[in-house]
This record gives sequence, C-alpha cells and structure tokens, in this order.
Amino acid sequence: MIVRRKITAAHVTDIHRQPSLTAMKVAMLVVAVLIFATMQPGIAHDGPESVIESLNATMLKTGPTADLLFRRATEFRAMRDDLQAAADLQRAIHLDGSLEIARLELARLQLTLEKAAAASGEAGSAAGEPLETLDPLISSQDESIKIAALALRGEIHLSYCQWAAAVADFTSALAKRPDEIEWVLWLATAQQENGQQAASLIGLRKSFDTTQSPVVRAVLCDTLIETARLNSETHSVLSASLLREAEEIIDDELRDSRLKSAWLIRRALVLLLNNKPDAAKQDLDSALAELNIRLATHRPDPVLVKDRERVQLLLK
Amino acid sequence: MGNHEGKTSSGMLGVGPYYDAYKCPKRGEAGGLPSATEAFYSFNYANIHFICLNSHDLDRGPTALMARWLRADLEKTKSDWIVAYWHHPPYTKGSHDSDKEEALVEMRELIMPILEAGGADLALTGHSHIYERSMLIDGAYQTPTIADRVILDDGDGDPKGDGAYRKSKGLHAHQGMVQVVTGNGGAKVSRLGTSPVMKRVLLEYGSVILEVNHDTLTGAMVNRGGVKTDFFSIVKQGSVIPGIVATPRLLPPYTVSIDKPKVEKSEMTPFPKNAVELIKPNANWDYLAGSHPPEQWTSIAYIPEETGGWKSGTVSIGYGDSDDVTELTDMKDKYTFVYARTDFELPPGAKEKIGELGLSISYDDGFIAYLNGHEVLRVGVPSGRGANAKNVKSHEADGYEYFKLKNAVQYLTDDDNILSIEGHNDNLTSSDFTLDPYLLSLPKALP
Repeated sequence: MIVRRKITAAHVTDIHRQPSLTAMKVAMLVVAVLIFATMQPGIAHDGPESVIESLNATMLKTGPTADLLFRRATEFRAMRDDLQAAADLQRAIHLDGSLEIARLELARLQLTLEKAAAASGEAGSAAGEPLETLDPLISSQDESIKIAALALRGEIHLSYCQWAAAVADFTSALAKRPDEIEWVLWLATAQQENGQQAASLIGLRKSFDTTQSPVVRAVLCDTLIETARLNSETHSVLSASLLREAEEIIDDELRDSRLKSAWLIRRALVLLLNNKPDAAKQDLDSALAELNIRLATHRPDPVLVKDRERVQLLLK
Repeated sequence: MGNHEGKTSSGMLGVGPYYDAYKCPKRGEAGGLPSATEAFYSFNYANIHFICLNSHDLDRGPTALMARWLRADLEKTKSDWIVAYWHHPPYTKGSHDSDKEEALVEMRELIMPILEAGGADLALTGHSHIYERSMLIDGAYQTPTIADRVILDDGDGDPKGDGAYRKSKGLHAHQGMVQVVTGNGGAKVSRLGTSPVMKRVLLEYGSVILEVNHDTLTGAMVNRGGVKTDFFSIVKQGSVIPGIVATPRLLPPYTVSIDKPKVEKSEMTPFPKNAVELIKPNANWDYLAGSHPPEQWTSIAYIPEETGGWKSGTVSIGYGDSDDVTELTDMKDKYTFVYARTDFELPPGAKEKIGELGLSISYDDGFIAYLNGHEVLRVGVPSGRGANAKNVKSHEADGYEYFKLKNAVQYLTDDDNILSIEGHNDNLTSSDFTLDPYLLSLPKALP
C-alpha cells in the first residue's frame, strides 16, 4: 500500500494563495469547506454500505447526533435511498436547528423526491415540502447559504411553473454569482415561460459573451428561433432579424462540427420559418441519417432519441 | 475531482483547495470547447482529445449542464482518439460496487450513452481500489451490469494473445470502448466480486501507462515491481463493422472464503462494550517477513515497496496451528520477525471524539505496536526493536486479547493514519507464529 500524506486545505491555501481571490470567493470557500467536510463519509475508501454499518454501530453506542445523521444521510443518498436520507436529514435538523447545510440538502432532496413522485403520477412526496424547509435560509446571515437557497428556491418555483417567482430568485442569485451557467439557463427558461423573451435573449447573449459556453450558445440559438416563430406574424421585421442572428450562429457551428444533427435540425427550423421546406428536408434527412447511427444501441442517449422524434415530426 | 478532493472543494461552486491548486482549462485554452467551469473540461494532446468530467458533486442528468456540454464537445472534436476520465467507475466490483452506488450507476446509465454515441474510445476511472480492465464493450448501461449483448470483442486485446481490439479509422459511434479502473495507485486494494464486462482484475498496486502511436492505442498496467501485468491495444484501421459476441468468454465469478476457524475473544482481557472498529478483523495488511525495513517504516510517509520485499495479505499472518489466513510457510527455522502495517481513516472532527484506542490482537509470541510512527504498546518484547529485539517471551495465541493503547489518541490525525505492528517469535524453531490484530476506539465519556 502506498500511502502519502495528504495536503490539507490549510496547506494548499497558504502555499498557493491566489492574489486575485475575491472576498466572495473566500467566503464561498469557507462554506464549501464546511459543507463538504461534513458531507463526506468517514471511511471514504469503503463503499457506502460499510460506512453506514460503521455509523450505525457508532450511533448504537453514542446515540444519534446531528453530525452522524447528516453523514449517514450522505451515504443513503449514495446508495440511492433518498427517503431514508431525507428522514436522517429531518432528524439532524430536529437535533440541531442551526445546521443550515442540512436544511439546504433536505430541501434539495425534497425537490428531487417531488419531481420523482410527479413523474410517476403520485400526488406528492412523503418527505415534506421543500419551500417550507428552505424558507428560514432565505434570511440566513451567511451570504453564501442565502445565495444557494435563492437559487434552489428559483429551481423549486421553476418546477411549480411559478415563472415570475423563479425569475425573481434567479435574478437575485445571479446578481451575486453571474457566471453560474445553470442558473443563467434556468433564468432564461423562466423568462421565456413568463413572456419575457427579450430579457431572456439579452441575458443569454451577455452570458455567452462572458463565458463562451457552447451550451449557452445553443440555448441562445433555440431562443432566437422560438422568439422569431412567436413574432413571425405580428413583428415580421423583428422575426427576420432574429432568424438572421440564429443563422449566423448555426453556420458558424456547422462549419466546425463533426457531428452535425443538432445544428442541422436548428437550420431546418430556420428554413421552415423562411418558407424553404425543400432545403429544410435536406437538412432533416442528413440529421436523421447521422442520428440513426448514433442511436444504434438498445439504451440510447435520451436527448438524441428526442432529436430523432423531432426530426420525424418535422419531416411529416 | 474525486470524493477526497470533495471533502474541501466544491465542483458546483468551483472553489476550494483543489481549484486553487490546479488551474484547469475552462475556456478551451488547450483545445476542446469552453466549459466555463474548471469542474469539467477538455483539451487536445497530439491526436488525442481528452475529456475530464466531474462525477462527484454535479448533476449527472442527461439534460444537466455537464451532459449538454459533453455532447457539444463531442460534436466538435476531430481528433483520432477520445479518452475520457473521471473519478467514479461505471463498472467495478473492487472496493466499490457500480451496481449499488448512485454516482457510479448514474455515470454508467446517463453519461456512458453520450460518450459512446460520440465515438469515445477509452474511459479511465479510479475510486474503487483495484485494477479492472474491460473487454471491448458498447451499450452496457443497464443496472445491474450484465454481459448480454454488450461485448463487441471478448478477447484480451493483447496483440500477442487474442489480438488487438479493432475499430474503424477515425471516430465512430458505438464501435466499442475499453474501461479501465485504475484505483490501485495507493490505498488498500480490495475486491467485492467481478464485473461481468471485465477481462482483467488485479489486486495489486501499480500504474497504467498509455501510449498512442497514430492508429494504435496501447495500455499497460505496470505493478510496483515494474512488471507489466496487463496489456491491451486498440487499433483503428479501415472500416470495421462491429458485432455483438453472442456467448462471450467471461471471467469466473469471484468468491471469498476464509477457510479458517473464527477467532474468538479471549476472556483473559475484558473487552469494552462500546468499542467501534477502526480497523476491521481479517483486514488486509502490508507485511514484510524475513527482512528488516528501514527505521522509518512506521511513519505515514513511508511507502512499502514490493521491491523492498513487502507483500499484502489478510490477517492473521503466521504459521503453524492451521489458524492463519496468510501463511508464512518459510518462516520456521529461518526468521523470527514480521512487520505489518495498515491504514485507517478519520474524517475531520472524529479524533476529537475518541476517548481511548484499544488493540484487539491474537498473537504468538510478542509484538510492538506503533501509531503514526509512535510506539504505543509493547507486549512480550521487553527490550529493543526490530533486529535488536531481545528476550521475547513465549505466548500462545488463544483468541483476541484487548489492550488499551495508553496516550495514543494524541497521535491520531485527520484522514489517513497508520497502525504498524512488529511481531516476534521467541525462537527460530518455534512450532507456530501468529499476528492477528484489529483496532478499536471508544468515545470520550460525556461530561
């Protein structure tokens, strides 16, 4: 067994302290250290079953503590036993009401369980209401907890189709951490659903300029096409302008792409909106041929399956 | 970033010591597409496109940010080879089980379909402390993993054996990937079973060396002694039409049986009732038999090397009486001493809650125990240590005996700790020798 002494967080931050590390980043770091130090299993080289066994033995002797329950909840999550994890988190909060990170994790878990219940047609989850759990954290004295809670509340509102509330929460969270791509995308979704297409486009353009994220660019392109479609009859000039912007992005992407189906579908949508069905069909046929090869497996990537369904629908 | 870095760093926020220590290409600085985060990224090296993913603390869902970026990145790359790497293995039965643990299951069910549809060739992972290497596989996403209709080549991939794995020239979807779990670089190796897609499973320490020469990729597992104990090759030439192997040759199922009588607790030394096992009975220990290690062998920093004579085995270690799991068949009449060490982990804050450490040990004849380099117990060895141990008293192993390790708690550290024990026989011609320890802790008494 080769064992090397691990460099601790303190060592690394002392030796490699970044002069550009902002106060915000330091604050987030502190929270991250606290969060993840607490979340990880005690015997990290062992599987979660062994760690749970060990924690059970400890709890039998010492009685349950918030820390032990929180750690066991992490292991139950690793074992995909979300209900048991939620129960442990609830007990941990009951024992130590000041454990904000447990509350944050419980709310996140409750949202996951709610989504799973909804997907299987059930009325709700037995694990409790995420908004209720999260509420005390919105006024947390800890800025990073507060920001994380705002973003999570935005996500909850998004899943409840409460678009305006989601927009408000993501806007607040992004004001503090503007480069969180996932939040940018969720904000854009909420804005579009809330009828704020223009704001959505502004946010996505700004985010792409800053990050160059290809995911943001793809969503920007989709939003341009959808906004153009919505405005095609009432605001034809605006619609044409949006489609031109989308075309520029698509041409740029197709020039460099090895796998082209996603961008060929987008170009076909633009061509259809520009009343060029023959050219659109060519792109859709090419996309379908490529997708068929990539989907030649019995459990394919669901996003590609969806793409093929879309192509088949457009070809009808 | 793996679970150990995740103790102090957050992939979601991109902050912590890991992100301070390493600067990863978030803007496509070395090829690949910008990911806008250091938590996952890609880069090009020669004709290889490397993709690094975060399997630890990000959403692994097919429409989550990482998966969307991965698709975009795969769409763009035109390198000859795609090598992806991350922490949690999608296929393993080493110290972790990919059929049971969320991160491992999700990487297989949700991320592997994207990689294989994008033409990836090789996945390198860790986490599970073992070396496992698959056949050429495609579409093995189900849980539990099965070998039915997912094996494209059931050979060993060795050009001198069954032949190299063959794929078409360039990048093509679903022409097969090789999975390598290379978690055998440091912490104790162990095995739960056999993942059905694996061709090689090795319980030894070592490193994997990859070489790419135009259309040929080779991987070699080199153990601590410098011996190549696995070798495979993927050759991409011409046009290959992949086919499923209907009845693949699989490794036999793995079973563990310790065909030895269970060692009971001795009544000589009462055991405390509320003890927790820090090192389990019948754990795997590194041991050196018949030669003396350097003076610092008990320290955390010391690395037992195979070239130095160190081996790995399950305790008890010894000979005679038919009660030892790891038998030292050459010990009698040749040498009287064995050195053994193993590690155990403590999460931050755990050592402060420990009131007492205790050693449970079945032994014959004497021993000296060290915790992180400090002597904490000496039984039956009145003076000296190592080659200078003198006047070893005879003692027959008769079940586990409990010894309090006085003042040992002060030597505990967060994370990795090393317990080392040197065992001594009282004479060369003794009929038996046994060293069978495990470590216990007791919580601090409530005020």
